[in-house]
Amino acid sequence: MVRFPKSLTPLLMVALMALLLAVLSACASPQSTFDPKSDAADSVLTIYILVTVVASVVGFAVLAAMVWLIIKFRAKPGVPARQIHGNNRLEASWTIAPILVLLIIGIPTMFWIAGTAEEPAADVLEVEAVGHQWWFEFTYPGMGPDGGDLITANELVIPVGRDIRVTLHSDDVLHSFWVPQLVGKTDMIPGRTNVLETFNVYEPGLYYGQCAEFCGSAHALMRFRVNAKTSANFSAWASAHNSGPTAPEPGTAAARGALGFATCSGCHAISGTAAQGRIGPDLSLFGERSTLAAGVLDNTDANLKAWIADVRSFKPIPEGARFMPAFNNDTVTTLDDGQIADIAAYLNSLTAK
Amino acid sequence: MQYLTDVATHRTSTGLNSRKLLMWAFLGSDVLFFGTLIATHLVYRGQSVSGPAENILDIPITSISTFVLLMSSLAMVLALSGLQRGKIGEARFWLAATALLGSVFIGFQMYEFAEFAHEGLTPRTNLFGSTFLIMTGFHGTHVAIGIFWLWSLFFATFNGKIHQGNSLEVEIAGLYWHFVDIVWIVIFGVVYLVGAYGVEEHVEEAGHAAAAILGFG
Amino acid sequence: MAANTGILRRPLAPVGIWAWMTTVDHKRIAVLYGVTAFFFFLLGGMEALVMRVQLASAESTIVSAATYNAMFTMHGTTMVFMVVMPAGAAFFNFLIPLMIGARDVAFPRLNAFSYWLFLFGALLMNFSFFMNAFPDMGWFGYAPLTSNEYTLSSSTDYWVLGLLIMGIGTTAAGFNFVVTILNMRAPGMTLMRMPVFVWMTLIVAFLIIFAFPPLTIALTFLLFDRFFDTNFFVDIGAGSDPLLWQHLFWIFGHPEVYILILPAMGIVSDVLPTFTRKPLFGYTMVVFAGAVIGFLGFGVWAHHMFTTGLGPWANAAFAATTMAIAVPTGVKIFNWLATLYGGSITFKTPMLFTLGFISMFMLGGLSGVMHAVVPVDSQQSDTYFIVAHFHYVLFGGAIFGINSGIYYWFPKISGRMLSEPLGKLHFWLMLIGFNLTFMPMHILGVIGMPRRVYTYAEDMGFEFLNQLISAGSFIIALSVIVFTINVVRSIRQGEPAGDNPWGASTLEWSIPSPPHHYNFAVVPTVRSQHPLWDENANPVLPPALPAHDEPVMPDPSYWPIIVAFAITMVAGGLIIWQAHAIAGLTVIASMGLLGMRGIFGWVLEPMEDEAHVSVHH
Ligand code: HEA
Ligand code: HEA
Ligand code: HEC
Ligand code: CUA
Ligand SMILES: [Cu+2]
Repeated sequence: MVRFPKSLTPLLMVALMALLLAVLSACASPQSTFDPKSDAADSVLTIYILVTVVASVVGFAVLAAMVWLIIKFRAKPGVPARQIHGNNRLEASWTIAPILVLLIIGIPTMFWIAGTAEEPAADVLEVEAVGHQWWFEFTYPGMGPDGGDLITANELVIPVGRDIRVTLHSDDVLHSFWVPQLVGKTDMIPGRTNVLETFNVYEPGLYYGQCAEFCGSAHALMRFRVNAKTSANFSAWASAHNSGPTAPEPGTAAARGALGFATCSGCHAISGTAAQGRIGPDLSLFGERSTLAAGVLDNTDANLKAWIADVRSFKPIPEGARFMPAFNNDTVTTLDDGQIADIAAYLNSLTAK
Repeated sequence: MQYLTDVATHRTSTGLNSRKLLMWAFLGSDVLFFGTLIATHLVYRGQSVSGPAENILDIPITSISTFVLLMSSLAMVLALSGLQRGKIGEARFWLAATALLGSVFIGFQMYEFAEFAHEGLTPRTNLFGSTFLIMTGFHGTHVAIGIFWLWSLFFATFNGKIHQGNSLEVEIAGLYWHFVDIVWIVIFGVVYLVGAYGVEEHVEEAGHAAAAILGFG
Repeated sequence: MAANTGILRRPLAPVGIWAWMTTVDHKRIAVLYGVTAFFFFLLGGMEALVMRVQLASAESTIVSAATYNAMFTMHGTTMVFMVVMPAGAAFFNFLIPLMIGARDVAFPRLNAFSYWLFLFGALLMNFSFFMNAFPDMGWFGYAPLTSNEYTLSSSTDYWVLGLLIMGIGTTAAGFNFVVTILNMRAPGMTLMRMPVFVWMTLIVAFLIIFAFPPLTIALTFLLFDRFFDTNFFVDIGAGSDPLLWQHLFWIFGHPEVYILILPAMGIVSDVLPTFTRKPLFGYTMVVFAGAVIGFLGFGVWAHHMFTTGLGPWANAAFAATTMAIAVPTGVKIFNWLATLYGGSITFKTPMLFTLGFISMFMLGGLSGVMHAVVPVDSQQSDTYFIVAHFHYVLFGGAIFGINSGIYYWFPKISGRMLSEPLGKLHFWLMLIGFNLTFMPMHILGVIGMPRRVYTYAEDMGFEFLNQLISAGSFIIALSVIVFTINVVRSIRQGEPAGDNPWGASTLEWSIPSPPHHYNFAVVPTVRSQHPLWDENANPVLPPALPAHDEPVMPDPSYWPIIVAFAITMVAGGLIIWQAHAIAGLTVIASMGLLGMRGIFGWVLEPMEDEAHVSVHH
């Protein structure tokens, strides 16, 4: 016969190890849902922990019962099995007990759902997010120059301590907007308008976001950042965004790059300049951004140059997709290393100073 | 011969012939098939943003074709009853009548589709066109298969493969035929009539409530 | 004479490839299903291993994004439709007639037809690999990624048509088993005397015939969108709605997961009494709970859509129905545990897998209940937590249950026992590998790793857990190799099994292993739920019959495979048509004609060849 205590050791070891790892790694990831940084993520975590505890208790109880039963009732010579067919009272109790347990998690769930219908505070900041294959666009209605729209991409800049409400759209296929530390995900669906749960960020910082619905070949590389700033810094960012860049010193690389950017302006916009393309991400204040290529690369000069030279070496773009050309060997416009360096210098100069 | 005898003597656990039970199971499944088609069509009523939609339906014409199909069900009943009473000639006549009435129905449907195409509604026009034409198209396909089946039975009465002793064959075809007829009544009721008369508002309201709950709003 | 209906001579030889291709014997069809399912398990498993190799390190470039995406799509599709479903069908086919005391299923040729449609559909879909068009949009094919606009090859065509064809075959099998179980029971085999496995099969058969039509329609809509430019899912300007696909797919999809798990639940419900030496505790409740699960399964689909913005009412309603399913499932778990109580338990391999099933499936069910909590799901959805959930229920549940069934009934099927030591090694390797693979996925989900990503950044902190997972997956692979060795060894030199090696109580154990092609020499009369345990009710076990007295069984037929082939080729013609209209239409037309001819041949063919009948009489 199998000797239980011994053969169960590996199982227990695995469970123990898993538990340890959970504790260790929960703090380690910038996308941990157990490290909330907003009221919305916090309220989810509370119920998350409740549910985890309930599930674990039930799970361990049933496992323990099973282990006890198989040890206790293993075949022993001369002890025949008792021919029991059933027991109505038992049946009733283990029908009712789960119902009670479910109420423990079900009732808070219902309250939470009811809470989502609540109106946000009056000073709520409204943002529109649009998913594109494979980047995010953010529009702040009414915050742009002359009461128009302020548009940015791949880095959502928001003030802390203020309710944020994001409406979600898609330009092509399904995407999903998810910032684990700030707010649970909601899908971006063509032809529909979804509204993300309102959230209010506790402290300034850079939070990781990720597209969470499979959207084609580069889905894994469709990320973004949320840059939460103090209220004052946020306002400063917005006005710098609107006023546009100061013209670079003539004769510098940035100045040459500003001219060279005409190649790019069919797709990219830089507010306050002639570049107003909307096919690709808005690049206003690009120098302020921490990442490039939709949250995938650090925004360094080297990365930027390499990106402009050949986007396909960073993102798996299928043949024939409407996307940014690789400028080091594009059939229409080829840029040499010097031109690319100039443009990169220009983009990096786009800061709020 | 025991396997065969079991089947042939109809000694089944439920007492129902197995092939008949098979037909019932199939029809049960088909309820879900048409149910899904009809539900899809209804949920998306009024959501087509462009092109012709509900208002294109022609109730008077379709009432006639519905009546024709209803009559075919009556003919089907008579065909079976004729066969069961051993009146092979009667059975033949009504089988042919059923198939012909079915063909008239198909004719009406082809006319309807042609008319719609003429007014600019094809499955490519909009969601109404897609759901409506595929729903009724599948129904038409069911009718066509039924007609084919009926003619097969009709001809089989001549070489003696269908006779009083195996009227079950006709009974099973009849089950199918009546079902297809009933499906049409449902389509005519909820897709055509509800669209045409005042019932519209109430159903629409209920539909929208349901749609809102499911998030179609 | 066969000649009066056929183009070919009716095959009557009992051996050879042709005999297998034309067989209508439920036991042979079961073997076909089983072998095919195992083949696809290896294939789907290898696809999984490719993914695991890729994910074993951060920012890995071992395979391309396109390859990875194709791997998980085909892995999911394969495991669900070409492994667990046909494995279930293998058990239905082998066991149902034996368990209810019948000589075959109600419609033997339809049964063969189901298998061939399944096989050809699966082959058609996998053929895309050779056309460099492996489907790559995820196993639930969300619109509008599946439209022509975003799928730049015919990959989705293969997927849609393959699924449609397999679906038709499966639905036909559903009809067959509904009728078989309702109508072909031996005298005295009342519904409440049927083994639980038969009950679960009946429920699954009903689920199939009710759940597959919505899938068929969803696929048809998609097919029309792709081939004929209709407006179901893509063209927003014409009223299309991508969510329509999700509703239709999950109205099918959730009942589908119960189609996958209920056979396993049936298996363990029949294994438990044998190895505890006592009847199943609360038989009635277990059966009833199965029916309730099946019924509720149709009312929970939108829990896959909690993040699509359905609104508070829908979310609340579907959260409630989803949680409700925990109740009947709990009833089953508790009744299984209660069956252990007071038992005299022996730990043979089938029993080990059954215990593995109960514990692992339970854990998967509990994470399912966590998903039902809408706010929690907003964090878990589309992360590795979901991947953990469904592998616990699909692998820890369905695959463990199926393994239990294989060890339990292999002696009946082959006449030989599987090795116990190898079996135990298989079990422990699999259990450990399984938990090492899928337990850490919960944590990955918690720390924010999305699913369906072919790579992840180094600074995310995902790498170590992914390495554990990949290591675990190779332990699973090792266990599968042990299993393969066990089977091959036993077929050659396994210990002869005898009629009833486990001392079990149900009818299939009353006849020789392997059974005669006619199953029962004399149809038994059943007097209790446990005919072989109940001394008084012991059915008469007549000896094998002399050849001239054998019951005549339906003869082989080549029509099922011909019709199935023609249908598949019509679908293939549609794909060819995309590239080359005339060639495509030619294929469609000629194969359509062949199909029609086949249907006529089938309908007019007598169940038994007259020549054959006259040999015996
Ligand atoms: C065999 C297959 C199978 C089974 C049986 C289940 C069973 C369940 N599943 Fe699972 N599920 C899948 C296969 C399966 N699932 C798959 C494949 C997916 C993902 C698809 C994809 O996206 O690719 C999925 C996804 C999925 C989701 C969507 C998550 C998301 O995408 O965001 C949800 C949400 O509610 C869910 C819930 C459940 C529940 C509540 C059950 C219940 O039936 C479980 C009931 C069982 C128990 C609860 C355990 C035993 C009970 C007790 C011990 C009693 C006491 C318990 C309590 C009081 C809690 N499942
Ligand atoms: C029954 C269903 C089932 C089963 C059994 C499995 C089994 C496994 N799955 Fe499963 N999986 C799914 C159903 C299943 N899966 C589904 C539905 C999805 C979702 C897909 C999607 O998102 O679209 C998924 C997705 C999925 C992912 C997520 C991919 C992603 O989101 O990016 C991963 C990642 O690790 C994974 C891993 C595995 C592994 C390692 C196994 C292992 O357990 C596999 C074990 C088998 C083997 C290892 C084979 C061994 C054989 C050999 C090695 C050959 C030996 C040769 C001889 C003996 C001759 N699966
Ligand atoms: C045909 C359209 C097109 C042209 C022309 C084009 N781009 Fe892009 N660009 C895009 C798209 C689309 C993206 C989004 C890529 C992604 O992140 O997945 C992008 C992304 C970028 C990014 C990263 C933005 C971010 O927020 O991460 C930079 C920087 C950039 N482009 C610079 C340039 C420069 C410099 C040029 C000209 C030399 C140029 N682009 C020309 C379409 C274009
Ligand atoms: Cu966008 Cu995934
Ligand atoms: Cu589900």
